[in-house]
Amino acid sequence: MSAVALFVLLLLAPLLEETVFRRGVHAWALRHRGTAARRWWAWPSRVNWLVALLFAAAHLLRLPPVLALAVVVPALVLGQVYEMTGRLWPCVAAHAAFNLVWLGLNASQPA
Amino acid sequence: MNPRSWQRWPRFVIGVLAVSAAGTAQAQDASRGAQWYLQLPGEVPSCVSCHGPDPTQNRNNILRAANQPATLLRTLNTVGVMGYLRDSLNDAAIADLAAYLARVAVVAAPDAAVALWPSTVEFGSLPVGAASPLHSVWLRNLGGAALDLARPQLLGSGFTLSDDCPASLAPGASCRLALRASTAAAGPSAATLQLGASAAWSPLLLGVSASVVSTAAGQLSANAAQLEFGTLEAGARLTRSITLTSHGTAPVTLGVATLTGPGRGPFQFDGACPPGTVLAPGSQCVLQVTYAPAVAGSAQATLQWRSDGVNPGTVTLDGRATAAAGVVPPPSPAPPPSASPGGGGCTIGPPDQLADVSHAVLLALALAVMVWRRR
Repeated sequence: MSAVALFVLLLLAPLLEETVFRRGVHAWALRHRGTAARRWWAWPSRVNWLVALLFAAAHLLRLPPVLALAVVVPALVLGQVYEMTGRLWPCVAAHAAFNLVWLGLNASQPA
Repeated sequence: MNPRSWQRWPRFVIGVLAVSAAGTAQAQDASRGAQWYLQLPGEVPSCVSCHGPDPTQNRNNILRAANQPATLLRTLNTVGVMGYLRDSLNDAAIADLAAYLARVAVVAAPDAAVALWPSTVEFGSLPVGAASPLHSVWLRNLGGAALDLARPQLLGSGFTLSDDCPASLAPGASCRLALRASTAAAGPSAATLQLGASAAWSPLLLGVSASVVSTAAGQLSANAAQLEFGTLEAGARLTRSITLTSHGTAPVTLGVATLTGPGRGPFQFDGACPPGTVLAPGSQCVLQVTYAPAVAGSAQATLQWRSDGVNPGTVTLDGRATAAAGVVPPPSPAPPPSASPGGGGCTIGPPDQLADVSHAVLLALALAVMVWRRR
């Protein structure tokens, strides 16, 4: 794994993608269309589902459809974090943590 | 969800199925697809601009569309930067491309029985009447049995072909094909080199393109057609340089350089010729090519360039490595295609490339969001 890949996965992608999707799309949709979840364990809000699907669709650029669809789950978690905290940084940190876990899983598989 | 929305689902599903069926019902001509990969009507940037001259390397996951015209159609309709192609590629051309990519996927597979490299040949913009550079293409039998070959054929006009390929290629043996472009008349030309076909394997296809121009053009040439690295011990490394010279009557802008071939693993290059470099007539740049074998065996690859002028002919790289005891084990296998469908985690852009359009778009969107939020 190159230094560039680590930089992209753990810093650049979380920062840019969370800024666009959580700070931009999610915030805009909440302002115009819906209500946020009120508890951590509440069912994801309609806005959260919508943004998670958009987020997964954007990943179709690079991932095959099945894996892009799988992105919906962490996206819902990130959306829930955003709705409960209203802050970007916890989402960026959580996104980086997801990527770190993914990297760990990939590294543990035989080549 | 609104109950009315549920009533629309059957119509939506039928619509999707109809589009998918339309995508797969086209007659497929893989040899024409090889030409679409390199050259599109109206001189709009073709697939090679983003996916590179070697589709076996699966850059930007292009092999996902192998034999999947519906996937390719959906990509054209949903990936913004590819949207312009929708006007240049009709459904038949999309089917052709998907069929061509299916042939590429066969060669790109780690257990492929045959290797053909480079995967495409681009002569670039040649002035009318100019001498054409020579582009070499290599065919190697990677299997354990002799490979029956039919005579190679050029489907299309504007190029000449010569070769030293026998009727039967022994296991591990290679043969070479040489291509030149005709520069008698101005205009774009494309052809497909078809190699085949015994009963055991489908013909291999290689797209060839050139654009003969009547205006001044830049011309790039390399100072050697072959870089020979000799025999090294595994673990050692050796660097040789190759000089690109601008010979034409106009400046030439360098495009990407690509290493191709099943033995490209131990080679890498670096130097003062990055894409975007503008070489005025008479000026040069030097590229350092390093051979660093990790295991014993022989390695052969080619280096090819793109530019807005006459592209230099392919340069062949050749090296051999021995173990410390002097025993030469079989050649190392080709590196697997870099599809990495799930590898690299959750990123929209490629994790191993900083300079990618998706990162730039995300950065622009993120800046727009920050400006919006500050208001």
